[in-house]
Amino acid sequence: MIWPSTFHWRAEALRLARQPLAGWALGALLLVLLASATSAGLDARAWRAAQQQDGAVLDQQLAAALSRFEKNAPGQANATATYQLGRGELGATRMAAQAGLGLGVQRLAVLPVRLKASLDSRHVDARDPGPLRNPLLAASGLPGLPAMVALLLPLVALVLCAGLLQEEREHGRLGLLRVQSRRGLGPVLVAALGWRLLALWTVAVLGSLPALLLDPGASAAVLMQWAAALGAFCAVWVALGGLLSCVPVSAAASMLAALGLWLALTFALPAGLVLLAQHAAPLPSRLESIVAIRAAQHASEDHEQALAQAWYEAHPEIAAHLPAVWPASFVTRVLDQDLALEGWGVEFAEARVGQAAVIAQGAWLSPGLALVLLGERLAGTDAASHVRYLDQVDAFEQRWRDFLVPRVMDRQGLRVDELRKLPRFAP
Amino acid sequence: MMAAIAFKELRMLLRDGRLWGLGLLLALLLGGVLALAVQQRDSAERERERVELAARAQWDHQGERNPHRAAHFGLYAFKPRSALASVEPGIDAQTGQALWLEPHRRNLALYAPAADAAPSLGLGDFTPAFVLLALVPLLIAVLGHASVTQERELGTLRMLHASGMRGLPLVLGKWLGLCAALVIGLAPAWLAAGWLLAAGQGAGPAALLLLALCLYYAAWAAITVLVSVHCRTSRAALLVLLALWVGAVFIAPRLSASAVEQFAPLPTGAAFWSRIQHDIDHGLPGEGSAAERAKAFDGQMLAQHGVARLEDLPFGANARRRLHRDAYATKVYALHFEQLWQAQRTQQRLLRVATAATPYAPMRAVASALAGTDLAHRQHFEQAAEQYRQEYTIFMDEWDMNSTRGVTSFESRYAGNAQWQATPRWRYEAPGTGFALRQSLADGGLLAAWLLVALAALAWSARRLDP
Repeated sequence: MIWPSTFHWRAEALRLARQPLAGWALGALLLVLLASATSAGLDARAWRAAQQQDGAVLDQQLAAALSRFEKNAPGQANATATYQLGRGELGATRMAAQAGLGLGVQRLAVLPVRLKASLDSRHVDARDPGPLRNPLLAASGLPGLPAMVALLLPLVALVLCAGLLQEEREHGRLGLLRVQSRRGLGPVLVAALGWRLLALWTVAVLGSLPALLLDPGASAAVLMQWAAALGAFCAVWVALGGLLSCVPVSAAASMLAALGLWLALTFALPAGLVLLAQHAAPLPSRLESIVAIRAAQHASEDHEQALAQAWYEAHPEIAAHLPAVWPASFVTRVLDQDLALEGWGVEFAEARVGQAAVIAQGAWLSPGLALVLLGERLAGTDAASHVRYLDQVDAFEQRWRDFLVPRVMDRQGLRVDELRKLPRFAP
Repeated sequence: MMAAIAFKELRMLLRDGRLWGLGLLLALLLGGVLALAVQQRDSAERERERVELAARAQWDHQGERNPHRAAHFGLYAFKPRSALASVEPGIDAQTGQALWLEPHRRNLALYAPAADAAPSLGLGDFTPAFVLLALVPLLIAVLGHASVTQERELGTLRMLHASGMRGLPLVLGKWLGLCAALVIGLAPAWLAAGWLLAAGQGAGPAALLLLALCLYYAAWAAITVLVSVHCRTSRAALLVLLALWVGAVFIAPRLSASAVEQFAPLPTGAAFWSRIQHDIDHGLPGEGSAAERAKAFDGQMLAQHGVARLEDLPFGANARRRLHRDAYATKVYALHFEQLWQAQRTQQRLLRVATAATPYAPMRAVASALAGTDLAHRQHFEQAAEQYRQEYTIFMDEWDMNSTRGVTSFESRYAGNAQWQATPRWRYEAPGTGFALRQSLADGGLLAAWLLVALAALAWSARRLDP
């Protein structure tokens, strides 16, 4: 029976409480986590606020467009206005976030999450310029709350557990300890590790709270899941620390081994997994895609009139106006370009999903990586969610173009009653 | 006496398996990571050159086109990467790989590798710089944490004290011994790095990087001995050094970057682009709206040539108007981009101040500057690309203006391969080592200050060395 008695619990609690180093380490961890979580919580809050404003902004833009179109008579000028509207901000989208946004909000600054459905090609003129950031700060900024937990908590766990038994041995107290405990050292060790686990878990949960409390979209269910994940993460590192403290080596050697273990599990293994994922599912080259984009542009420019004619033949309900002139000639070119480049988009998405799958499969080897991936899943900013968002944008853009392109091609433009039915992005 | 202590310390470290074991491990790690990074950089450079040629060939052989519509397909500028960029990729992962150069509009670079990166912890890539700048200081801490505490624990410090040994030669000897052991222990790593970088023609910057690294390691060694002087036990010294290392490498730079972003934020992308559009449409203060400017220009053009209609002008009117319009847009873009860069430079300065409490941040800044992967090199490249954008669009419009008369249709195709092939070529000369040195002056100074302060603190502590 290794379950500790009340005396074991009390004795080990006293021993931990009287270690000033433990208090300093836990206090420092709490402070850093609080700072990181507050920053993440504020970012998540800002994102939610902007998301809530999206609807009102779109309503305003639509009202302005309606007042403009009310003055327009059907004809070429109205078709041009329809084309410009189709390239404008009314096609804006935003990736949907989940309840745990504060746990993965940092990905929103890196991924394209504000794409726009357009009559222009998203590969060319409607390319997303992305958020404006100083690359220097982006490269050295906070990596997100889960990553900070994954980085620091193991170190504190290992420091708290360092030399638990070795120090007793080195000071000649181990024998005495063994004699005093009627059920051997097991209950003593379990009580010591149990208090450390509880202390670490409490600090981690408290330190994470601002990330979720500051985010109005967070839920209790996410908090419970995150707390459970933190519990498992703490348990792994406390167990490893406990195991290392039992190894019959000196306290210094045990600490070096703990440091090596932390470096391996936190840096080397995730880096190895990334390499493996890149090898298993290589991303197509972004630079090579430029050549493909240029080729598609040139091909559609060369066959501009043939493309317009083909479009009219496929849509007999629209009267053909040939030779096609701007903007009609541009619209069919863009449709052709995007069709030619569709394969690239699919390849990128498949490679990203493939890499994410390889990393998810191997994440159990690195508890920190597993924790970060869980955070991103709870936030809805993981690779699978992003690929899902890209698919939603593609589908929305299809509806957007199906709605607007015929009105540009018929050289009449949208009527006001049609404009009221303009598609909206709904993730 | 100092030399004797240094030799004794060196002998002790050389006999200690940790120096050879960890040194060898680090050399293997650095060799492996560097080999991979060099291979990836070389492959990326080959791809860049291939794509640059292919994109230019597409431009040169696009056949008959309307020159302005052809110009809208644009050209691309790609930033070459130096040999040292494989050691310290700096901000490269966060910046786009290709800059699309098109008429009327100045763009930001596209395709930042960070957006395509596989899921990871987000603590940065496992690069050679990580090994050199983060892991070597940890090795120094592991090797040197007990330099004084062990003497204290064994009671030899008291004996030395009793025999009249002064504190200063003792701690300086310990520091010199640790530095010498590092030079020997890291020799395989230096050789591996030198061999891999030798082919990359980056000998000058690499030598400067080595010099900066020596300063950096010397500072860490001084901090290590300093902590050892002040701690009662080796365990406490190691724990303090570990905490300092984590704080210096991971916490301080990241919290500082986040604080700087909050304290001196950049405009949002939407605000930045809409201000530019506003200034182009409505004009800079006192310069009239786009419509007013165009009307005034048309009037001036017609009066100058004594004609009443644009159609009667002896040159291409649309191209001439474009030249005028784009010159104004270029001025507005230059103004706003300069403001943006100024804001980024302010952030950089604030970050330097905020992270001055750690030698890691200035060392990283120096390494990035020498590798050509810092903000200044990025802005140099983007400025050169912008100049080329202006050069090629003006070339196209001037040709169009001189080759046509009156108003031409955008649907007519009157330019061919000869015209495309005559377009100036993009050639980027990366700034030399002098530029990198000027950029790293402040951070290099901070690094030197760190070493001096650490040595001064060591000398001050030596006088109060408690046996």
